[in-house]
Amino acid sequence: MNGFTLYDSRNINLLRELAMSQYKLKDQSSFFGLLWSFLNPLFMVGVLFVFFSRRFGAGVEHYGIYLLLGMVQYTHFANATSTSMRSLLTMKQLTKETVFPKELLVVSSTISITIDFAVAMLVCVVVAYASGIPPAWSHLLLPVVVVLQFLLAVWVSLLLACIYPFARDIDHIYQVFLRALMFATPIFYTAAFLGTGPARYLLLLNPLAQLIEASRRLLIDGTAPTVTTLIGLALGNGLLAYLSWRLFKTFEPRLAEYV
Amino acid sequence: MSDAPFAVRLEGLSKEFLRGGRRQTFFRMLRDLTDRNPQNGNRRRALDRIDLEIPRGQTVGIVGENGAGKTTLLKTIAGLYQSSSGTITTHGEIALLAGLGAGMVDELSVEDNVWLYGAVCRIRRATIRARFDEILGWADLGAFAAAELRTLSTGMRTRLAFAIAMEIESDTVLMDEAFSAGDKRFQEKCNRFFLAAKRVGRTFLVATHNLEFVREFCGSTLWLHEGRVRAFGPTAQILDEYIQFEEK
Repeated sequence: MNGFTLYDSRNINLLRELAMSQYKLKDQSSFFGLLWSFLNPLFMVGVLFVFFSRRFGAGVEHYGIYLLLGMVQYTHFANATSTSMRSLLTMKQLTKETVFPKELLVVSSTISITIDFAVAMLVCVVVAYASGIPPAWSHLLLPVVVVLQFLLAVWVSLLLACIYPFARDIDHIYQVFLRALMFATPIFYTAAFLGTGPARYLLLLNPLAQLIEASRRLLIDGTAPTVTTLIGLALGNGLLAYLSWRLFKTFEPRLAEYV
Repeated sequence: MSDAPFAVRLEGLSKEFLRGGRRQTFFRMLRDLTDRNPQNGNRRRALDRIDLEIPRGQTVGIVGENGAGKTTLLKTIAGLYQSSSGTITTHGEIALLAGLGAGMVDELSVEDNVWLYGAVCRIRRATIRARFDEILGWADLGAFAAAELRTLSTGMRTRLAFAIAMEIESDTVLMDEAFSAGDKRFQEKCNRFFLAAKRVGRTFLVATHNLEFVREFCGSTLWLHEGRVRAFGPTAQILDEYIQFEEK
């Protein structure tokens, strides 16, 4: 489109302005706004802890933090992808009336939600220290997980956002998928619970599960992620990046007509 | 910028739209993608085989009744719509101003909106920073920088959006009814801008119902009728024909 590239400084400026305006609109730049975005997963953690800690938490060290990390990461993924999926329609006027790479609308939406996620992960670290987990060098790698999770949310959002204007009911289908994903991801149970059956191998195809596993190893165990996790993350991100970019660029020229 | 004598050249440009009304569902999308004989009959032709060459450095008015294809033409040239057939050749960077103020947010302050709309108009951050006070001054909003945009009148918002859009540096600017709102003072300011722009030699394509503006600032005029070029030539001649047609 008019020879614009993603690396044009004007695109980066637009990305920043769009992300900041959406963030301000969410009223989350205030202390209480941030608090509410953390209270949501915290409430779920409370419920899950009460009901599942005896059944699934037995033998899991720091089960509360284990749950918290899983819930914070899942909540970010679900919120970021759901909101960004709708972004081309939420910012309909920009999609229909202005000329710039439309992926900027989707990515800016993901960024605005990821700001809260980064703060929530920081709160997780503070809670972990307060609950007796000693500081470790591995904790310094947690921002890498945040970045990887942001990228994962971007790829999935791009994939969904370019289909959404043409098939609005994909929102309903995706909400069902997210509910299934919550149970298919070891958030309140451990991977060992799945035994050695095919479900265990399905985890390798679940990049969110790999990310949650990575952050738990870094924060709770104080160790680096396993090679399997790293390979799973690289493959998952690479494949999704390729697919979503191709699909988005195929649909992009028709977006202004259909929103 | 290249040395081509034209800013925009259109050859056999057509644009068709699917008639709306169908609810978009995932199932329908899949069916359309796999359908070997898609139903092409339910289409509306908005632009019909347009051949046109817009010389560089001119301000060209586009007139025509509602639904004549003015906005579609601008959006197709800008690349916002995919053409159905024909070719578009452009030289230099093109900016589209369709829906002045598109992207400005009511709940944000005037200052925030200057940065945001400036970015949407693809104006460099350094330019906005350097021209920030002039932008607010031109819009007579120097005292309103911290006010929420929603507290401003329609006229004030139009002034703000236009003041920002004036900083666009593209070689060719496509404008769709960008200055139809606003009081006499605003119109005079806009006129001064176009006079200055004319001297610089930038290309403007302006779709408007404001025939006074066209007569005063546009060297040539394109008259679109039902998606086709009805006439293109010197403004005085085309406007006379258009006004006669309208009066009938």
